[in-house]
Amino acid sequence: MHRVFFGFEVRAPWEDEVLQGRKIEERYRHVTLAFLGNLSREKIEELLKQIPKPEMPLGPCAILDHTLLLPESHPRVMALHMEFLDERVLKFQKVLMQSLHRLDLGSDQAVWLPHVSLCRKPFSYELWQAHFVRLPCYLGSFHLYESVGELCYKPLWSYDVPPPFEEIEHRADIAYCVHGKDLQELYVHASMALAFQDPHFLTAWPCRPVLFSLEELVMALNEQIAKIDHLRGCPFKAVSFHGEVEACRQNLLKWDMIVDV
Amino acid sequence: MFNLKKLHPSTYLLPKEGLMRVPGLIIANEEELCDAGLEKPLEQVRNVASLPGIVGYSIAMPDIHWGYGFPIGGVAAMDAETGVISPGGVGYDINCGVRLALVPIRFRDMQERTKSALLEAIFRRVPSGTGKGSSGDRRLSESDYRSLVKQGARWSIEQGCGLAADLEHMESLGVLEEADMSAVSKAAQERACAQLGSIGSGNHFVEIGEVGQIFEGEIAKQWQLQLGQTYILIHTGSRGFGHQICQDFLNSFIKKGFAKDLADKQLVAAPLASEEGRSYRQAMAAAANFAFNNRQQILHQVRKAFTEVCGVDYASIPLLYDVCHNIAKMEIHPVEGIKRKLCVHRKGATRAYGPGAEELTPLFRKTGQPVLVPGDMGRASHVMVGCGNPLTWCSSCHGAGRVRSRVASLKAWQGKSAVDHMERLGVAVKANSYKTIAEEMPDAYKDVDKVVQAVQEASLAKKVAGLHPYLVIKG
Repeated sequence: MHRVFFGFEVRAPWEDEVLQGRKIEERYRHVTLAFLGNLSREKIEELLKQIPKPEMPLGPCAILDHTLLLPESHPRVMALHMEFLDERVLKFQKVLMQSLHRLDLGSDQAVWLPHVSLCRKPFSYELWQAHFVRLPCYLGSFHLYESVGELCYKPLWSYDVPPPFEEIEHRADIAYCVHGKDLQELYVHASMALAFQDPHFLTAWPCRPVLFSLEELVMALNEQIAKIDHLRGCPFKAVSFHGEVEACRQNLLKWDMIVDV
Repeated sequence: MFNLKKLHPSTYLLPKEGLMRVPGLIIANEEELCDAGLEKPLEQVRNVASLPGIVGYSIAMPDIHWGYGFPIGGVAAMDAETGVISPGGVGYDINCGVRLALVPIRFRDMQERTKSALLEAIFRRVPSGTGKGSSGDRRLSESDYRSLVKQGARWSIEQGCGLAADLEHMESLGVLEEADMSAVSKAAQERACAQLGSIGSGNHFVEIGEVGQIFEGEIAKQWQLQLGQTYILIHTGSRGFGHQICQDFLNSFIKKGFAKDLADKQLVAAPLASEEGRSYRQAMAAAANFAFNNRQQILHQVRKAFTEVCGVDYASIPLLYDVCHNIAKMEIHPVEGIKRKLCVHRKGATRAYGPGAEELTPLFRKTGQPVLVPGDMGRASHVMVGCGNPLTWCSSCHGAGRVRSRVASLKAWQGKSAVDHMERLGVAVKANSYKTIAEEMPDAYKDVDKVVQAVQEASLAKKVAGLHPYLVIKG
């Protein structure tokens, strides 16, 4: 039998220095969508044929916006709450649960609380809470995980979800290949990329300008940089006007963002 | 693929082709030309060569690397009447520059605990790192801005932050006359109102070390540079003030359509003779004057630290020179035998006037101007003297230039102690962020000795002295 659950990998610029407790390694950090309990290999194979897949062209972004102690009554886990930037994951979780219920699987949850667990008891909550800053994150591949003990989670089955941005090599500055379905989404993903470098970039978040060109997108990002530099200092000088928005796979747009630091 | 033709030692011609209005001129040694990383910056040299009104060559220094529109380590002169001025040809950090001051004590005569105390005192007095502003939480008022922008470095000296003699040891006497606050946005004022006297982040620093080598004894003597002497080297610019001004004008020029038909939007430029061009020059000069004041106030604090910790008389620490390496200046140069007024863009390049240059003060008119070339924090920096080479509009290199990205450097030093490594090299480093130190490790930079060698072979500047760093404060 395998103790299994469905979840997405979570990628974030983790700040673990003040995290004291039985830490879950970064590579195992995830958001659980549905816990299934102990299942046989045959049952799992049957199940995988019938569940819906997350048809997401890019990993959805979220903000890890506050700390959680779970369960509330007798806390055993320190976790971060995930606030998604859109409804896609919430909708997918509902569809997944409905599908599992039809198979008599998945525990009943009145309200799903999206979160990522960071460490288990014994832990030091106060120190962590005092140093907490909001973090950007995005979801990576969707997995059927097996909990193998010792805070390790092994994917038994995976469905790839491409990242919304990827860091690329640049000799002088920092650079990202940013993807999005339109200019607005490129802007959001570019902002998240910058927040991965400096989480304080979320200080002025959310900011959703209406954009009609790459130039306007760059200007909007630079306005954010100037605002944050004025408020508390910012490690970025500016985003370059360099480059073009190009069409790529699945009707997505792609832009190489170069950031002067 | 670039079909370079050797003209002189370490001097190559990049032939004119396509939209280029002038050829390129590449100052580099043969080893440097084999670097695959040179391809993109050389494409930028070509792009710059296509700008209206460019005269002579689009020039690349041996420390060239990829920049916004213009390469860093690039020089381009535009005709004052038909040419353009480009914020990307100056850079975001307007009048980023370097100043060198000399302390009348031998570095090796300082005890280890004095050196540590000195490093601590400077770190305490000079704010460094992202978001760290003026010492003492001082905020600039509108009237402060008006005065410092009009007077340049003189403003700080009149506030008690420096010596009257300092002014004669600064490029352009520490002031660009065209500066006008009416061309500067409110946002730029607000962004920098608490940043005067601070280093900032990135590759900026304050460095203390010893004069390790003398190459030109006679000039060194005239500049009072002595072997073993302690020096202060400061590298920073106009902080958020210059960044915002650059951003404001890039946005405005792009909105006005000045980027149309350019190979790279970041090259966007306005005609020098236009209202927009004039306005940018006024704002850029305002930022340049902010930067002169910034370096002046930092030197003031470092001098005070030497007085506090080492008992050195404040007035006995002369400024040798202050150079700009991100600027566009109106200068007169001979073009085919006729003197013409040109707007010389130096982005990551230093003016290098030779002996006899009229703009220089008497001491430097005799010798040529000092050219300050900081290397990395582990190896060396150089003091050179300008040769006034007309091929490069009297310009030289500005530093070592990166060979490894910040990300790659950070990754390379992950899990290792960069600070301990520097200590083993005999260099004590302090910074607000470990990340900055890891990004700025010596192996992220070219060997500055090779850069300087190419500059000397090309007769742009000559080596006067080598500096060895021992105490470094990074942003």
